[in-house]
Amino acid sequence: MSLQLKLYVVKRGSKDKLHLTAVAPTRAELAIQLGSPVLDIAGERYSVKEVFAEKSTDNTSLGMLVGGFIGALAGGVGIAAGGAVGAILGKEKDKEEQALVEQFNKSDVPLIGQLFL
Amino acid sequence: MSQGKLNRSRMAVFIVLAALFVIVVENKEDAEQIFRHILESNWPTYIIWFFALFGVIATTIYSNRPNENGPGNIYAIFRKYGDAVFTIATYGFSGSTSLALLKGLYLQAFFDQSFFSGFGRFDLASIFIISSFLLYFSLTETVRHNVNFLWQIEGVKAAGAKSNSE
Repeated sequence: MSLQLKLYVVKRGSKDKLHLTAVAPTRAELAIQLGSPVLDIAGERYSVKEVFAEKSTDNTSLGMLVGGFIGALAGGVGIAAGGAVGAILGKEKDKEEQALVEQFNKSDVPLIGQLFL
Repeated sequence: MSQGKLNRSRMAVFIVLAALFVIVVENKEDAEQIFRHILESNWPTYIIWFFALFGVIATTIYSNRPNENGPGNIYAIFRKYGDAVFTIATYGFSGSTSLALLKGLYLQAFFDQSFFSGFGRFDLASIFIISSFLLYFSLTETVRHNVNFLWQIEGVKAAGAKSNSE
């Protein structure tokens, strides 16, 4: 449940990213959720093709930090061991999240008719 | 992370842990007293429950994830909210219970208090590993929920355009 991607479009005329509140695993599902493959975002019109995904959290850092602090209860060695184990577990989570990012970024845009089936 | 480039957040975490390592090794007895004080206070439990409640409720409310409605199906109608209740309970109980077990183990190992009489070394090691993993799971998932909420309130809402000519 907590693996959640950040969806964004690149603002026209700049390199700034506009992050969306919407959550969807593919472009087709995003279009179905919003009822159209064309989106109005902050006063501008974008195609759902222009929406991309990125990871929301650096799980390796988070895992290393939490693991290190829990390990601190066992002393200096615990910090090193906890940090290492936390980093490994976090890295696995990062791989899962990266796979979801790629799934979204490689997903196709639905034909208009498919939205209403 | 791009190849050959240092990841800033990982570097920052490494520095924090290295500093903690030096402090804990150099001031072993003081560090033990501080950990004991933290574990004996109820604050870690309150903090775990607060972040579990806040993170999950806030993400559920702010998330645009559709509630999968279906006529006459109570589970489908309340799915999003049912999920939230079970998630809060999972994170809250796993966090607070594992913390209580770790507190008992810590006080028994370093302060000669007896919490687990009749348990062998293998049993105690097993409790330590399982409790540590549960606490890790609870804390990382709770933090992730709160981070997701923070970027969601910063996000902009997208609306489907009615037609391209509008």
